[in-house]
Amino acid sequence: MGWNTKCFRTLCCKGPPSPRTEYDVVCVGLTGSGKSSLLTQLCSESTDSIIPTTGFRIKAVPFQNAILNVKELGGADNIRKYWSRYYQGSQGVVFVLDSASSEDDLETARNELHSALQHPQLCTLPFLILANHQDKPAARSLQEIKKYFELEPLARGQRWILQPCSVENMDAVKEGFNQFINLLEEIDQEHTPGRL
Amino acid sequence: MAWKAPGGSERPAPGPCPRPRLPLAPPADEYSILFGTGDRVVEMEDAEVENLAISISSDVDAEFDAVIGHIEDIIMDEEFQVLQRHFMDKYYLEFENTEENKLSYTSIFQEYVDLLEKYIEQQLIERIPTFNMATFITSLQQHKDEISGDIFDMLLTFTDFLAFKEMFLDYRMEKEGHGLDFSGDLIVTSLSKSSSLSPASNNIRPFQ
Repeated sequence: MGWNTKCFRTLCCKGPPSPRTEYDVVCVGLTGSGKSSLLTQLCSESTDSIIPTTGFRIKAVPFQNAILNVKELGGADNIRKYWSRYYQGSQGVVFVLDSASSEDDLETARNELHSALQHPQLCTLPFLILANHQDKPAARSLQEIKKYFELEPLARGQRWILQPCSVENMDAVKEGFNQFINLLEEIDQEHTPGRL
Repeated sequence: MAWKAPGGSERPAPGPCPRPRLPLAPPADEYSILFGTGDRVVEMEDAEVENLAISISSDVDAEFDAVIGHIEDIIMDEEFQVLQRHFMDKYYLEFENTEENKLSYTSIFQEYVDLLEKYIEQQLIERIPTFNMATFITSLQQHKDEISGDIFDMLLTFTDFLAFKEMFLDYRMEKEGHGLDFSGDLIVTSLSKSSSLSPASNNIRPFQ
């Protein structure tokens, strides 16, 4: 299925079009992890009216070196089973998790992340894992998340970035995304040797 | 990609006479060789290669033009129009003008492609037995500035989800009169207080 957004997307920061590379990425995570809020904030739009996503969104999010065409999927129980229908054509994955969620929810998030990491359409792609809600007192630390999610053993051979962040600290979010874009650029260059 | 190439021969069928189309203009001195008396043997060889390149490019262009011509005929035809309208009528109420997309849009998109794009492909194969969709799509990217806006927009709805959604939203606006519901705004009020007076005396005819 084509979700080429070049012709009809709404570029959320209205500026002159510049020849930045575009990458198509998919953004998943449990409901309440903060996907919609982070993406909206990255577009400098107000997060006041955000409610749980029950479908999916397509947003072109601009960064200094690239534009990410993000397909963001709702994360409620009844929607997660449809995630894989939207994986085709993705060049990268953004996984958002609530660092301060309950043990049960954290376990569900771990299962979902592992499924994504192993999914045939995603397993060769770079992952940006955003450990969100770091501003909450119950938030697990970076080391705790890395250990709990078993990233080192499970995601061996895959390219991933684990970035702690919160909507209060958009610099950290942008830092994570910039590193992620570097990964996407590296992979792009690997696939097209000698391209001008 | 939603496009699927049908089986068939790789070799394009000879098309109608190529429409004259200027390739990138060669430098002035080569032009003079093509049209001049050409007594410089070395440059004549270059001109021959140039001629061959132009003629191959013209064949491909001609084939592309032929396909576009057929697509215009197909989508203008009553059968396609009915098929498309019926499909749009079935689903247009599902589409809302919000940033968020319902999951159902995805399955409707898939159904749309399966129904309408396949129909066009079948019609094209009937007209051009050696038609190859994959080749055509590649040509489409290169020629997109030359195709009329309507045709290009239509073809885009098969590969670009947001274009597809826009099409449905436009259809809905059209069906619903630009989203404005006038039925509450127009009220017919009798000028007479008594309802027993005949309509004729008020010069108001009753609604039939």
